Amino acid sequence: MSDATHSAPQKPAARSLHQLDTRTKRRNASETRFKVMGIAAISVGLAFLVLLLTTIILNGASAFQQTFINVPVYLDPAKIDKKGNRDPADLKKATTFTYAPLIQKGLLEVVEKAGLETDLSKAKELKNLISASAAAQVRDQVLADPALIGQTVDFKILASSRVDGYLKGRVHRDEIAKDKNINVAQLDLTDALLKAGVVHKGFNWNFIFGSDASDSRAEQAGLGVSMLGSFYMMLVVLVLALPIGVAASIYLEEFAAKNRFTDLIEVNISNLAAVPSIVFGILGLAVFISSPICRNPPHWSVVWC
Amino acid sequence: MNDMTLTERAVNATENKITARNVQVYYGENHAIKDVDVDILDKTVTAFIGPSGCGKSTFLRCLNRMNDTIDICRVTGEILLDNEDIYDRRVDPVQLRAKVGMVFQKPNPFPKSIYDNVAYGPKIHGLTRNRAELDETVEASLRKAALWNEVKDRLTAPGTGLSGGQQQRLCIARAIATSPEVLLMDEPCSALDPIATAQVEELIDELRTNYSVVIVTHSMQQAARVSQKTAFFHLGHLVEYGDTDKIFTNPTDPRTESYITGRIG
Amino acid sequence: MPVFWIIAIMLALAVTGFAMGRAKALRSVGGDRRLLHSLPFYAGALIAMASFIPALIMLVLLLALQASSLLLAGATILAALVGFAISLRLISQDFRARNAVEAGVRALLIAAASVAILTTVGIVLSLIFNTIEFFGLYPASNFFLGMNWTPSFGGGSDLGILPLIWGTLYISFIALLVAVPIGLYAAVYLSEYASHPVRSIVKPLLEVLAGIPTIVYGLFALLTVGPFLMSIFGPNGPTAAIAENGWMHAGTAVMTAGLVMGIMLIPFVSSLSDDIINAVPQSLRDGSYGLGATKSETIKQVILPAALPGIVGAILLAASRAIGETMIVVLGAGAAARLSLNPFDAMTTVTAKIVSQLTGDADFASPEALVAFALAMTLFVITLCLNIFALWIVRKYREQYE
Ligand SMILES: Nc1ncnc2c1ncn2[C@@H]1O[C@H](COP(=O)(O)OP(=O)(O)O)[C@@H](O)[C@H]1O
Ligand SMILES: [Mg+2]
Repeated sequence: MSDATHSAPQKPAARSLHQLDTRTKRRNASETRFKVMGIAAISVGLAFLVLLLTTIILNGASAFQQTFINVPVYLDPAKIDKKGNRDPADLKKATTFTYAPLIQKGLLEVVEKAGLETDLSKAKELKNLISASAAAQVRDQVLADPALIGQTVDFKILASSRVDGYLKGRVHRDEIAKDKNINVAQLDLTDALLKAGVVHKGFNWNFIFGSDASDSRAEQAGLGVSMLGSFYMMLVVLVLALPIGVAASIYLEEFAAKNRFTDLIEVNISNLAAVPSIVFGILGLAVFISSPICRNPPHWSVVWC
Repeated sequence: MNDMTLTERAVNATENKITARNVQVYYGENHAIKDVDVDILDKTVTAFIGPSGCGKSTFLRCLNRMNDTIDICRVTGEILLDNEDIYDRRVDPVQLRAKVGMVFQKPNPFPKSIYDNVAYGPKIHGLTRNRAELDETVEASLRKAALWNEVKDRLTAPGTGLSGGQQQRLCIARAIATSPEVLLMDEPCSALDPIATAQVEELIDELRTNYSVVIVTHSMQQAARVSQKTAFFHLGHLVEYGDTDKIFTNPTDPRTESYITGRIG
Repeated sequence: MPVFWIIAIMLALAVTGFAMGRAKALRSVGGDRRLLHSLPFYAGALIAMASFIPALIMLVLLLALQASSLLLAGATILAALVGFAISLRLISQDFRARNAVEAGVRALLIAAASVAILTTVGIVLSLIFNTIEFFGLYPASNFFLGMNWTPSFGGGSDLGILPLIWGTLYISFIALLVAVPIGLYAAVYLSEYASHPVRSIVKPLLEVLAGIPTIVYGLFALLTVGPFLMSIFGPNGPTAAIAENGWMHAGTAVMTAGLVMGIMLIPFVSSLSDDIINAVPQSLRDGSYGLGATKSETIKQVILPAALPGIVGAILLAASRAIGETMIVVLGAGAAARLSLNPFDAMTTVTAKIVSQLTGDADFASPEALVAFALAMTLFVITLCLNIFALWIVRKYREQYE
């Protein structure tokens, strides 16, 4: 063995480590690109999350505010209590149709007293400002306390959904030409009333605790009852799924031998997790709704259906 | 291995390949390597021995900057490869690792074919210009790793399907294929049976004609069989470094003596 | 509510049984518990189980069979008493109460595990009879091969499933086109590059996307994404220059629903893939870095190929989610069954039509309503096959590293 065979410099292309060759530069650039793609993917995912949450919040937040109108209503005994005996049974005969004009009249008086300029001269023309639920609200209060009859009582009633929408920017002046439920004069009056403090916005407790409402009284809608429903649903699911699920997983992890039956159970469990919910819906339809039990429920079936 | 070649090679190989000065390694608070100075020669097998946890692997991994992949690990001091500081800011570990290959304790072939396992390094470093050259490199590497005859008919079979010893030789072939100058081996035989161990040891002895080989081993017999230089580590210190013969027959440090006579470790 | 009282009585019996069983076991050995075969607890537990469980089964059975409330209460309480008496008689010094309780618990656990099979059987049963009835009224070949979906509740409707399947697949395809690259890149970044704090914040944040109810995504499609796409691809957008009126004619379209569904599926792909990538052994990464590969080369050439079967499984699971999705489609994709290539056209899916056919006012015995069951059956079979295939792949993958 001679000295020449192992002298290191003979090796070709012994480039210095302190110089990056072009290939390494290229590889590092591709490394950076790859990393940027990863960051971009995560940013896109998070951006979607933020977008989703902000649009939900922006679209939904206005529901927590609702427009109210302060109206002193003269509870005219001649209209409400025609017999004059304050008998609750007779009072009940006066429907919301009796009350609605009283509220409208009350509002018109407010307008006149405040000296607001408006083209609307008749009480009836103010109808569209007031929620259809207002009459029921006043009536309920009168039935609860007949002594109010004959007095002028201050009520805080809901404004109609058009007025509410106008103040929240959902209803626009140039789009209401064909709308039977609101007109420009009424919107002008709304603006004036808002300035006078008669119309104002407040927190919508009814939205959180109230129940569903019909389309004609959208301003009265609330989530309370539906939330209760969701809550019960959660409870039922928890009570059913938790014990069975825990027991099944204990069995599969701790006891089950590796055999066909165990395999079958495992495949079934993971498959059930992926079965479209609509198919479960059909199972529910078939088992519960169309079964004879629920079509013709005996008295105890409340626990079942 | 006859005594004649052993001494001859030991005498001829005098060029420094790697020079380490004042190397410290910390894993967070843990000071794992303390003040290590060592000169590793070209075309020589250097063995690192010492009790478990004394820092042999840690120091080995400094030599190709594999410690960079561990977040909490910090290295100070100077390590020169051919008189160039490998911890210099300008050094790209990717280029360094092509020059300083590594073989691990547990055989870790990629879940690819035997051919692709060996071709992996040359492909990423762009060492060959065409398919024919790549074929040549793969064959040459497998021959150097003494595996060619066993696998030449099934190059497309998965590398994970080989036996443990064959897998480890495949990993050596994979490391050789990037034509490194230094080969680091971290206990390359600890997962192998005695016959496979003997084959790998024989291979290591042959590799020294072309490469500088550093091998970490638990077995003193192995160190004595394959290495010309031996470094003894203890509690993060390099206690003694010198010719293998001398370390095993006439150590200077009492700690080395206790270790090789089996009193510590 | 008699059911409530029956259950209360059963519980009371079980508690009494527990106390009595314990007491009897102790009495049988004169208080020296060392002489008992099983701890006294097991004697009590056995009686509690024997009086409660058969009675519970009886209760559920009778409820399903619509027994009168007198029979219901009588039979259930009788069952509880019989179980109570028999098990109490068995208790003695040498009785192996522990083995009996363990066997009972095991039986209960098996029963719980079998609920999954029962549910699957229930689904198949609830679908199959109505499906067969439907095929009696409407030829199966027209259903599976028909190119038109024009149900009219007056009768004489075309009920071909192909336009619906096409819509389903098209929307799912777009959803996966969004979710797979984003999800995969996110998973790779999180598992290979991100530092621990970043990972522990970003991963749960992305998973929030999977927890949002799909109806909210539906509203998002309807209120935000649809109008946004309209402004670009609609009659007033830049594409109007290429095609008359632009490519998109309404906010509801395959693209709208597909995009939104894709967002929903991102965490599905990313979380599952992240777990799978993490399961790739560190030694493979070390091997690649040791050869001088960069991180991205290691990921592309070693980690992803090694994780591929698992990732394919994850994608298939996401696909079965997309195929079964309902609310996003109802709100975002429109209601028209159409065989079209334009992704900006409104189309509809199998799930959406199941809803509309069942909630319409058609007579329940008419083919227009019964077709929903055939659609659901088809959907069930498709997702079942997809899932079994995905599971098979994932399992094969797991074996590779075990
Ligand atoms: N990845 C790591 N993170 C933290 N500490 C480590 C790591 N690897 C090794 N160490 C520590 O460094 C010391 C030396 O370890 P190592 O180099 O593996 O020893 P050897 O290979 O000689 O058995 C040990 O105390 C060990 O706990
Ligand atoms: Mg080690």
